[in-house]
Amino acid sequence: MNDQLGDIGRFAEPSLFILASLGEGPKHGYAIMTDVEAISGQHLGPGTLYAALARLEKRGLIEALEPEDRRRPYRLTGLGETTLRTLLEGLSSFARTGLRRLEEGR
Amino acid sequence: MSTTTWLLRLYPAAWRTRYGLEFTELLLARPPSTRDRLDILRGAIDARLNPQMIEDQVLRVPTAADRVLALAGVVAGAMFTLWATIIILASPRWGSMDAGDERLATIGYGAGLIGMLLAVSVLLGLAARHVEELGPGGALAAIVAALAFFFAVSGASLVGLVMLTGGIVALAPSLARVVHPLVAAGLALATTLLALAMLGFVGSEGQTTFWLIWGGGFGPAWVLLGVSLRHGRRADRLAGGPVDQSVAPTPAGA
Repeated sequence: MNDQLGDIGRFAEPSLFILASLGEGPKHGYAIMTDVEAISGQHLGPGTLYAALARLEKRGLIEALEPEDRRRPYRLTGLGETTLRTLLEGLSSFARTGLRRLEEGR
Repeated sequence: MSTTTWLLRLYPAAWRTRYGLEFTELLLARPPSTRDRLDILRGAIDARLNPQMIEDQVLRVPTAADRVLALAGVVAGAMFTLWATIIILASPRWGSMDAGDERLATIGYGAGLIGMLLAVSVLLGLAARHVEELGPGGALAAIVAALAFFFAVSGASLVGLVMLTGGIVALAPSLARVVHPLVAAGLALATTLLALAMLGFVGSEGQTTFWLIWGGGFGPAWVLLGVSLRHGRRADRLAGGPVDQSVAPTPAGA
């Protein structure tokens, strides 16, 4: 996963959550934070959120839109969409294989 | 100072310029828990150790305040140069002008006074407008340097020279975050040479050398500072790629 995200280190998992959250459309920081908590059940701290956003933006996976008041929405770039799709398909394949082996082992 | 402001100050200035507003908005929308504060502290350390800023994101679009500040700097530099030119022309060694020409002397010292007042405005304006980039230390240095000019008005007092040189030299590293580092370094160098000349450590030509340094370095350094303030280095806007306006951003959440 780190390879596809451009060696993003410990921010790989939060970054995947953020990309997945932006998969349905642009969101600003607070909306991403609450959405990630809803879809993953994991708390995303403000420091981690913006550290991951900065990395994703620098790697061209997301881009910032014009600010709305004091909030700035982010959206997936074409590269971000492709990367997210590749990551999710990889995870999906991994999950299917794991479940199948679990069934076979019974 | 609120907790939010304090937490934001942990981040580098460039990071605050880029993300500060939206980050503050996030913290206002959802006040941070103790766990969040630790997360922010960790994020600030990460931002300092692994800056992820895109260079384009810190290119500035000058505002009206920047333009006024820049104009004040350029005019201050021009006034200092005019002042020095008149004094140099009045020098028996360099000029042919009548040293006793009171009208020209009045113009010269008037130009110097205007230059000083504008320089004070620029320094105080820097401290007020660029406090984020300068940081508390840089803003304090700018204020000290500004106050030094009031001592200079009544002559080259030692206290004024020490304050001016110390203030400008202390300001230079922070100023390099607002203007080109060479401009900040040039201003610090010109000010130091000026102080050394006035204290008699530079040159053997006495006052002539002092005024040459004043006119040759100090005035142009202020002109360059003004020009740099017009163009600047830091961003108030996001550069990055062009935004596709056909895709309207869909605000989500709070």
